Order: sequence, then structure tokens, then C-alpha cells
Amino acid sequence: MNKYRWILHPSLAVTMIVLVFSLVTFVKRDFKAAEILASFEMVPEKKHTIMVEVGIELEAFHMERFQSHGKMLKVDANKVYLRAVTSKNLDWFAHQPWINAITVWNRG
Amino acid sequence: MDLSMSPTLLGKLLNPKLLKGVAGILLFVLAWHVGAKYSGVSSYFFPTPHDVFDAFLTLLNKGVLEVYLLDSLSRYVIGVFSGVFVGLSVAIVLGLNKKLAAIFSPLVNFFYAVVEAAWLPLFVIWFGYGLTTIVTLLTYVVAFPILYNMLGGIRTLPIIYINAMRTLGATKFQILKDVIFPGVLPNIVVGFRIGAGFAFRGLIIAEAIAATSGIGFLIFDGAANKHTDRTIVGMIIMGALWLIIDLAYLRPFERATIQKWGMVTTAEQRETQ
Repeated sequence: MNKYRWILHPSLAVTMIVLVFSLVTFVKRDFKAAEILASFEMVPEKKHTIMVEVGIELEAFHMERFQSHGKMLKVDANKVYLRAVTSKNLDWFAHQPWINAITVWNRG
Repeated sequence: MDLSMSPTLLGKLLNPKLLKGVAGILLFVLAWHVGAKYSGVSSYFFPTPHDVFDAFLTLLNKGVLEVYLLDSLSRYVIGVFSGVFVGLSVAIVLGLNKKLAAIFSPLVNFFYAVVEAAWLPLFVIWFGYGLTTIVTLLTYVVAFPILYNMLGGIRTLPIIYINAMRTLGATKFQILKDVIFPGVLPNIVVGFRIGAGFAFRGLIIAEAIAATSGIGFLIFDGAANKHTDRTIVGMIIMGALWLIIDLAYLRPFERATIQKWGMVTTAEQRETQ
């Protein structure tokens, strides 16, 4: 038991807890993002028009984030329509925990 | 059975001192709940612990809290390390050059007394809102305690050590590396601890004015938008975060350095001596 006591050192314990929690969170989000992104075809280097279905009541914080990742067209209840969304931004949207689904209409 | 002496984790958790601390916090929460519920004022003016907990869960579910926490912590870490670098660099230059020290010491004393909040409006004008202003402010806040303490340490370093190195033909760099730096390390650690504490307060003030995210922003934005429960969530997170930083990083760092070197004794150590 004595040789494992270093695990209980506060700084190490706190750091490990934060690291493990962060890792689990990122992995879960990655899986969820992969599921969302697999449901449509993303065209690299093109800008997409999308509809994002959110699972929460939107706040100024979310609107600000939306604006920095695309041009907002309209908000209809829990659906947000945006255009000029790049593939990188689509990836960002897919990784947000408060977004349930994304529908993409690729520019033709 | 004396549980306070038990080396097991359960023994540490059942420590009477810790239990008394937890009981104190629970009593405070109970008094808060009774006061808020039966005072007759609206929850906007005086939210209950339940309102605050609800607000905490809402912010967590909306993904707001983690982004704000991450932003605050990253600004804090960048600011603190930047401040340490600047403080040490300036202290070395001033500490080794008596003429420069004589010219700049009054200025150092003067600026040490100017609170960071007084600089914020000027920084916003110069650097705009955002990371640059916040990190500049935190650098200022952290650099001065380190600079001040290190200069004090250099002045009180016994000259005989430096003279001894000189008689052995040491260069300035060798004197700095082998005598001055080890000699003032306790002063640097003390300055770092003071600076880290000031930086945390400075971070909250800076975020309230110059940021659109972070715990400081949450506190002031909550009050501005009639979400006082969110303001209290921010305050509790601020206190808890500082406790974690202090207990998990700063105190162990102090124990591993200046306490181990015998430069500082704790109250417990003095009682047993």
C-alpha cells in the first residue's frame, strides 16, 4: 500500500482526475461527432448550408458561437439554419454536446 | 481509536478537523436556504441554494460552464507564467546592476502600489478587448511581487558568498547561477505565491471588463441580465477553483521548496518544536 501512496498526493490526484475526465469527455464527443458526420456527405473546401437541431434553450453565448461558425439565416424553435459553413466549422458543430443533429444541404 | 492519526484514506476523510469544516459549510448553506426562503424577497434579489444549483446544472448542460472554465484557466496559466518570466528577467537585470537598480527602484515601488484595476481602462484602449489585455494585466500583477521579493533577496544575500566566488575567478554568469539564484529561490517562491493569488483576483476583474467568456464574465453578466443565481454560481466556482489551485499546486510547491529548505515553518511545526 505504501508504494502507491503517491497517487493520493493532492496535485497528482487532481491532475489525474481532470485528465481522465477530459479524456473520457473528448472520446465520447468524438464518437458522437463521428455519428453525426456520417449521416451526410461533407464536401471539403466547399461551404455548406445546414440546419442544426439543438437540445437546449439558446442563449446569447450560443448565438455568438453560431455567428463565428457560419452566417445565421433564421432560428425556428430548436432549429437553427446557417449558411456558408465550412467543413471545419461542421466538425466544430458536431462536437458540441448541446447539438443533437445536423442536416446538410451541400451547395451545388 | 484516534482516526486523525489513521494513515488510510478513510481515516483522512474522517479527520475531526475536516468534519468540522464540512459541518461549518453545511450550516452556512442551511442558514442561506432559510434566509432566502423566508425573507420574503424575490429569488432575483436573494436566490436560494436550490436556485443556484439549478443554474449550475443549466450552465453545465448548455456547455457554457466548461468553455468559461477552460478560458479562465488558460488565461490564468498564460498570465502567471508570462509574469514569472518578466519578473525574473527584470529582477536579474536590476539585481546585478547597482546603477540601474538605483534609477528604477523608486519606479518599481511606485508601480507595485498601483492596483491592476487602475490599469485596465488603459490596457483596453491600447490592446482592445480580449486575451492580450487580460494576459498583459496578469503579467503586471504577477511580475511585481516576484520582482520585489527577488530584489529584496538579492540585497540581503551575504556579500561574502559573492566575494568568495569572485576570488575563485567566477564570471558574472557563474555568480548568478551558483550563488544569487539559489540564494534568492525562497524569495522567488514567496513572490510567486503572492503573485499567483493576486493574478486570480485580477483575472476575474479583467474578464468582467475585457472578455466575453470566463468565470469573471459569468459573474458580471449574470447580474447584468438578472440571473443572480448565475452570479453566485460564478462566485462559488471562483472560490472552489482557488481552493483547488492552492491546495493541490501552490501549497505542495511551497512544501517541496521553501518549507523543505527550512526557510519557512508552519504553525504545526512551530507547535511541535
